[in-house]
Amino acid sequence: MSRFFTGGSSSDDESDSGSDSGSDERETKPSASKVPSRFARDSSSDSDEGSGKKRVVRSAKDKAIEDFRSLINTVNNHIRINDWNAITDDFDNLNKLLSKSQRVLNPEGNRTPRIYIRALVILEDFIKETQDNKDKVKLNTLNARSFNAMKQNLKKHNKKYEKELEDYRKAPDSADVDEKPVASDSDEDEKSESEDEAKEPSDSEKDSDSGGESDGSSVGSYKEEEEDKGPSRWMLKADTKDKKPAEKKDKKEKEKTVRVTTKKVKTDEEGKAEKKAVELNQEDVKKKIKEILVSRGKRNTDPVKQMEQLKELLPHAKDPELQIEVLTHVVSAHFDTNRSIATHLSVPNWRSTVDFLTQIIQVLENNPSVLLHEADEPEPVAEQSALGLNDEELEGSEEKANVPVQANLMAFVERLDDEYTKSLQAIDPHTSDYLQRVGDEPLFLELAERIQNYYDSAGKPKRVARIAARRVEHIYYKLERDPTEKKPAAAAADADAPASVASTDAELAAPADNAAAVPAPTPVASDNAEIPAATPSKVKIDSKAVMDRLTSVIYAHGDERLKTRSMLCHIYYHALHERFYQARDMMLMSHLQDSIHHMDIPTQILFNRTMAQLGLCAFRDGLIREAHNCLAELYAGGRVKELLGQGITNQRYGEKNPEQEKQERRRQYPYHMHINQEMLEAVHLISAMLLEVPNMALNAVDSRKKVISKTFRRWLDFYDRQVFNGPPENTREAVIAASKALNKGDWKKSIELLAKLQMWVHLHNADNVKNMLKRKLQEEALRTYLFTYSASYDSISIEQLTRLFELPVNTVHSIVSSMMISEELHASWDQPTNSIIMHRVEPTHLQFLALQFAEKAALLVENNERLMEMRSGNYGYRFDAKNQQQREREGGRGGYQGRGGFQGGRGRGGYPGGYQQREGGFQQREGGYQQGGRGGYQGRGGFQQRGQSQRAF
Amino acid sequence: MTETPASSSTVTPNYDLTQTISPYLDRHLVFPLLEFLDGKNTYSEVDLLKAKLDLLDKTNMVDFAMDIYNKLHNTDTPPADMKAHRDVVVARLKQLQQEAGPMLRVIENRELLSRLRQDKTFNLQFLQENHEVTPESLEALYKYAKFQFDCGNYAGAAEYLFHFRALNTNPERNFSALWGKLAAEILMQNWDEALKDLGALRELIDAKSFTPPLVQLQQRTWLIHWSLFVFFNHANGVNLIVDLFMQDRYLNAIQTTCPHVLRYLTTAVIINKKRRNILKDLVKVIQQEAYTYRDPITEFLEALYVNFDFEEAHIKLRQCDQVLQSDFFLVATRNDFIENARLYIFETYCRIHQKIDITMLAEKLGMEVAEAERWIVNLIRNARLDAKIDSKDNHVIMGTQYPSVYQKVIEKTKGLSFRSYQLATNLNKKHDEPRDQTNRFQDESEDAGEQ
Repeated sequence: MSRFFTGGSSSDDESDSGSDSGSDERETKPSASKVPSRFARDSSSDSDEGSGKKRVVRSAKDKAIEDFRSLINTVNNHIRINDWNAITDDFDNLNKLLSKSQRVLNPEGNRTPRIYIRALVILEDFIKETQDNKDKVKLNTLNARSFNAMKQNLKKHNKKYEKELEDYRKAPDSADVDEKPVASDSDEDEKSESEDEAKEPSDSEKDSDSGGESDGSSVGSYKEEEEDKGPSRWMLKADTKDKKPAEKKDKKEKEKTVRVTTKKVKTDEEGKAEKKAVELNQEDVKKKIKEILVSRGKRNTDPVKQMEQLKELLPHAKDPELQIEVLTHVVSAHFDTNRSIATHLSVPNWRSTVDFLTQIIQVLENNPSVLLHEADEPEPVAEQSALGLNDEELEGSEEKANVPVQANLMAFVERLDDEYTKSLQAIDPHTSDYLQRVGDEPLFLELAERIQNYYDSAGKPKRVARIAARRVEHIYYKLERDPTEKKPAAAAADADAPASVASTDAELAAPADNAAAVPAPTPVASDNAEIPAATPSKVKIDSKAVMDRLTSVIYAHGDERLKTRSMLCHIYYHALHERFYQARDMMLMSHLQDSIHHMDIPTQILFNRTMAQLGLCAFRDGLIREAHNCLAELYAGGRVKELLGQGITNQRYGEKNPEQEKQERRRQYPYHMHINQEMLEAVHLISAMLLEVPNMALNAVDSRKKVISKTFRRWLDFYDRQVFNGPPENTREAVIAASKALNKGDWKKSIELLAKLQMWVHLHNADNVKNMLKRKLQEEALRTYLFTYSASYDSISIEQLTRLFELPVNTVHSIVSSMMISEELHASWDQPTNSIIMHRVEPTHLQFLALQFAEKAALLVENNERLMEMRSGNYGYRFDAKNQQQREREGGRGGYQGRGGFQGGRGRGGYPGGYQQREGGFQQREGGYQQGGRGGYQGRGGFQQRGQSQRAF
Repeated sequence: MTETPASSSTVTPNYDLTQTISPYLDRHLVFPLLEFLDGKNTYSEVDLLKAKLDLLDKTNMVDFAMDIYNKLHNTDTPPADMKAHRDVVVARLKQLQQEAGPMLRVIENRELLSRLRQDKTFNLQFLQENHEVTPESLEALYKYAKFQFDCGNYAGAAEYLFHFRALNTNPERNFSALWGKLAAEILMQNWDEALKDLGALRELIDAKSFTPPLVQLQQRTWLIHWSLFVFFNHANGVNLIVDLFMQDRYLNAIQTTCPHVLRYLTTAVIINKKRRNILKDLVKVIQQEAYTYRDPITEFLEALYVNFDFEEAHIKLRQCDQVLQSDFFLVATRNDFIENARLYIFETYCRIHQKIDITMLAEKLGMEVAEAERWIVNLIRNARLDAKIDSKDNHVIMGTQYPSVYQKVIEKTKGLSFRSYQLATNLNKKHDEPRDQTNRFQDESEDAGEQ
């Protein structure tokens, strides 16, 4: 890690080594050919300068610095050979030297020598790198031990110097930072200085550029580094840039020509601008932009610096086109500050990016005559795609091809959104930082809306669709309350949240002036779905309308992926708002279930989320079977978290490699968008319980016959195997205990247990749902009771049943009747006495034997068939027989394949404007949907498909 | 094709589907519906007249429109634009007549026509050569027919369209001509012909696989609605409607675009004794669509077959009566429906009871006790019901029928010998190499088969 062995020509010109040497230090360029002496000269130059002015005792100080330098040198050497033992020693030496020279270098005792900090940074960086490459770079045991020790040590040690380190990293450039105010913090100061400030570095950079791309020799070695995709991944972009110096030149020339043409148009405006003598004229601004831009993305340009320079140009740009151009470059520069895919754009940077984008759109709105240039140059395409590297690869390059030269707002918006998501992923959701960050969403939404409107008026529907899709993804998971109900709900939410929430909300409201929803996620309650957004009602009221409008735009103009995604979002949205049938129909009409396995993983995750939400919705609606069908699939594999993108499950078998893990991390949904896991599990288990318990009672004799929920059965078995069962402690145990009670017909205990569950807190109409659940439990308890104990009765009066289960007579009558009709219960009513007469069909001994005999004969034949199948390798007759059976089963039970969940595509129209293959869908739909009193068999087809969908991950 | 008549009445008429249906119908087809409503008092007369006028506005039945206008506004002088319209219509008629002249001459000459038929020379080429018929005049014939139809001359329109279809080669034109002809036949109440056209049309729609599904769906929806006229008037319609609507494609269309048609399908199934087996499927469909469409008729089935709530079923049955009486298509089926519905209730009731009080039953069926008893006796005698009457207690005692053990055994072993046989033959067929093994298999499987 010889970051100081730079070959940059800039090391020679001392005058303003500021930006250059700074970025040099950032670069990672092992070039063994460069000798330490060179380095010495380099660093001496800046540290000399840096410390030279203030210090009194020059010679002693020089000596100390010299010592430091040589020490760093050795450290670097050791680093290169990866010798941690030696590095540890060096570190100790370094500390000794520090204490020794403290007196000399830092008589006041309040500052740490910069060079020492630099050494620390070097060490830290190297440790980090080694850490990241751990599996690639093998350390021997001794070495590894000292590495670990060193790591700990340094970590502790560095705590002390945190601030200095930070400073240094922010402006590694040099010593002259000491004198001047820190560049990165200065926003609008130094206007007077700005001119020469801006000019000088750019000049020098230009020099270095024309000086033949100093890195020519190091590109090779640099690439080596790049391959290990460590944190140095951020170099990627620079790399691609560097590879095309020639193209760069082209671009410059082309830009020139473009400028020339635009210049003609604007001569009059320029004239106006020149009236102010102080100002730069437009021509100068252009030139300056060009100068700055030339170095953009170069390894030794500092994006922060560039950003500053561009910002300073801003006031000088007078006519809108130029303004937009400058602004565009400022925004790009902002984005350049984060080149890593793993980290996110810092929050202040993000906000200011939003500001600048808002300015752009403002300019565009104010000057409708200004049109964004469509790209006819190939150059910006390359630039954009380089920029867009962080974006999903799916965004085809062909779409980038018609990107406007001056500002690709859409790309900016998308990048902004990505950065936003990344930052949410990175911030700890339990902090107030997170809340603040969430509060930034309205900023983004507003911006996106304006840009969308702009594109709309500019007649670019494709772009409109893409931005609309982004907006949809920010809206769909928010629950819109009834205006009447809103107030108390919001209040309740605020009460839930710690006081800090309220305050942050308030202060956020100020910058986000007329902005939209500020969802206030309570750190405890992760269920975003239920989290009301305490917001100005203005935006909220028509959130449905907004959603409908946006999605319809997307359906009309979006590409396949966008359509799918927003379709899913739309379904999710419906489900969230208790419109189950609408959501279900959309799901079925779009045939998403058939095609989702071919989609990319994030979309599959979205699909899973949608299914989960649909399940919750069905449950709230009292549609237990539907709820179960939706959720069963999700829970079949036991990797719910992963499937929902809400956390990473540790895999039992084999480690994931870091690359996979990173990818997975990128797929995570921000915390406030999560679907409450606990609630989901509870809903799944409760609905499984309601279906499975009577089913088990019905098939008490041979339980292998029909299993509705395998997961539920598994937990039940697990429970049974336990020697002692304590009181339930978590959701699952509670539900299992409840189902045990239900099995005995004790619905009261069952409801009691379920009422204690955590989930009710997160349900916004918990009381209704509880009532529904109670009713269902009573009904199912009745059924279970009759199945289990009918053998012990000769007759039961209906009054007794109504008393036992506290159900109205009508309900009891209709439940029992339907059981009779479907021949689940062998009984009939005695109308005059209003009681149920059980018909025992107990076979005589002989009959019983005969039945058994017949069964065994059937088994024998079946075994023969199987035998033959095994021997011959083909299915022989059995194949047909199986098919036939299956067909019979299908006929009898109404579809059995394509059961489970919404597997069956229902041949309904398509989504508005889509309308896809609807023929033949209906048969399946029957299967998928209502299975009278019967069935509920988690179809084999269902499981298979499930397996696939998981494997796709 | 049509638009909803703007009949907005203050009292929302219960369960009246006229407004729902009419968008799917041709203007002219809506007329009978409105005429029917005339006598029902569900809508105010003025509204109905307005609706009619609206309907006629775009047709060429100007005279009729004027009549209605006069009635509506109590005047004798129809507005000027109507008169002007009338002149235009007449002029246009003349023009079309002239254009289609050659064609008309051929068609009106019966003798010539039958001769041409006999010689099988009734084709465009021959006519072109011998009777000055040009493709243009054929086109004009189509327009003329359309015009005639618009003027209310359905018979003429039907005839012209028939000939047009015989000569025309353009499938699109043919298709619309067929629609026209169907409408004309329906309006002439020529049910046999209409049925034929309906069949042809159905085939055409299904055969056009290249049309976008949305269009197909739309056409099916129209067909479904138009067919209601035919099915509920044709003698065999009740069977045919079930056949057609229960087809996947049509059921699909019903569910997607017009769940209200379920009312007609349900009625047809209920009054059709032969179609019991469909009932189960139908109930499923009704349940599925319950969230978009429900009316007493579908609710009746639901009450009876899903909830087994007989009280509810009775209430619904009473409501059904009203609905049937005020429905243009169903009014004729009322008695059948009530009778069959009663039977359904009774049957279901009997299936889950073993002892029923006749008095109560009579009350439920809405009959006198004696009458009810007679009714039950008849049922028993016709062997529809396995029951006895205990006249002392005035009870019906149902015979219980459960699958006996014998049946169960037979059921279980039914396929066995066949399966074994099949196994053996398969073995012989596919594996004739290792002889001994096969024999062993055979023996075993035959053993099994004998058991």
